[in-house]
Amino acid sequence: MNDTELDQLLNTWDAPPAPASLRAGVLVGFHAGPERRKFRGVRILIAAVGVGVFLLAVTLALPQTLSLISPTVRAPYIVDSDVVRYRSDGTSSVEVHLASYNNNGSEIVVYEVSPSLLTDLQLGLQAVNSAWTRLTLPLALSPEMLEKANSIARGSIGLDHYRLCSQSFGCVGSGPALLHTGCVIGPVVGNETILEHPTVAVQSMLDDQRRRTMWMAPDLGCFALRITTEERRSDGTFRLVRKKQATKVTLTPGKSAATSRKTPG
Amino acid sequence: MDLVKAARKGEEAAFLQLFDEHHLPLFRFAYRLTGSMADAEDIVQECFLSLLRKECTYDPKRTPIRTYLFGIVRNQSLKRLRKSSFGLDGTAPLSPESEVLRNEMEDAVARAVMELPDIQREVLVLAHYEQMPLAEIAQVLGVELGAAKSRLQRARASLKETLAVYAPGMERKR
Repeated sequence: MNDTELDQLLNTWDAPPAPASLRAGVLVGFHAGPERRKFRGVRILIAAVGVGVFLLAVTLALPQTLSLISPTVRAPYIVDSDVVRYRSDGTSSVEVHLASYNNNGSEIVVYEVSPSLLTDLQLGLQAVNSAWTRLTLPLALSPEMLEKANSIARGSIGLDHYRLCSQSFGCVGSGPALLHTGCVIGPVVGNETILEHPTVAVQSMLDDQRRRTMWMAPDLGCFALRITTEERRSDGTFRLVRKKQATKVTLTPGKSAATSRKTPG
Repeated sequence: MDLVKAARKGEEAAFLQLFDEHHLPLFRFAYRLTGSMADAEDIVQECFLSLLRKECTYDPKRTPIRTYLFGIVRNQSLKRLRKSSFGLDGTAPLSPESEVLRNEMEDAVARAVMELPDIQREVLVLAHYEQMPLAEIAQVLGVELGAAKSRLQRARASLKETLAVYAPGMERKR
């Protein structure tokens, strides 16, 4: 074999393009950088107080008015989940704790916290803010206002790219179409009961290197109680790189989870 | 204008300019060293964020930014490779015919490159895939020019041997 032939052979090995999530991840890291971190606690405190005052005003003064203007929503359930990143060296870490539910097929994230980006103090402040948000938001706001308030809360900690409708997992659990197919939107690879909710496991390829499996619960409006993303090794087998796992399902008292479900067909 | 200095002061535009100019070759390099997209993503992200830290030793008078960044990616990749169990040891070798049937010449090349010793693979990837001059490669690796050159020669010789079955006119590919 001469040098030219070797070069031609080597050229057959293409590297995949850099994922878009790389840029988002770098930006999040940039905004959490050391120069800005010292002001982060103050900013989070201001944001928490601001959101708290806003919510207090809304929940105390406007619910009746709002109910006249537009129908309010009440989360039928809240699912607590962890998103865990698995590295090839065998280590893993929780990227995000989040609480969410389905609203007509769209996943509404009530709150999310990234343990790796916050100090203990900031984590505490965020937890207070999140708890308040969780208690009040689903009770009195229209879906539009709820989403707006959520986006404000997310913006304050800069974690939007970690949302499940993102590069990490693709858009999942969204779209009325999902509800009309009984949660089956690809090859079914299994059935499993997770946290006492029957699920159907559906698998799909995100690209030629990665595949995603979602365990969706029909009785929770196709909410995915588990999502895994795996990456293809050079020998063709797959390695788990990220997993969202529900840790708790809390049904709202007086409201059945089935109220969020639409009968297929 | 020193983009790193500006980025450290919090100028997002400067940081993004640095990222946009360099992240693609760095990602390819990390991917070809580790064989993993997830690891490559982590490594490149960490590489750029390390520029913002106080303990960052980057000195524009001594090293071009590109060389410095490649050096970080190289060190991080090798560190992960040492920790991980990545390898092809447990994989049953495929016959050349079945590889062709699966249109897997690319896999064969990837395997051959990944099986090179680390010190040869990094030189080969930088020289062939990133078209980096040997003098700069030596700087990235922190070795003498002669050492980089001989590593590259050994890597190419080894690959010629490993991939010999695909050589004659490369008709198998077609």
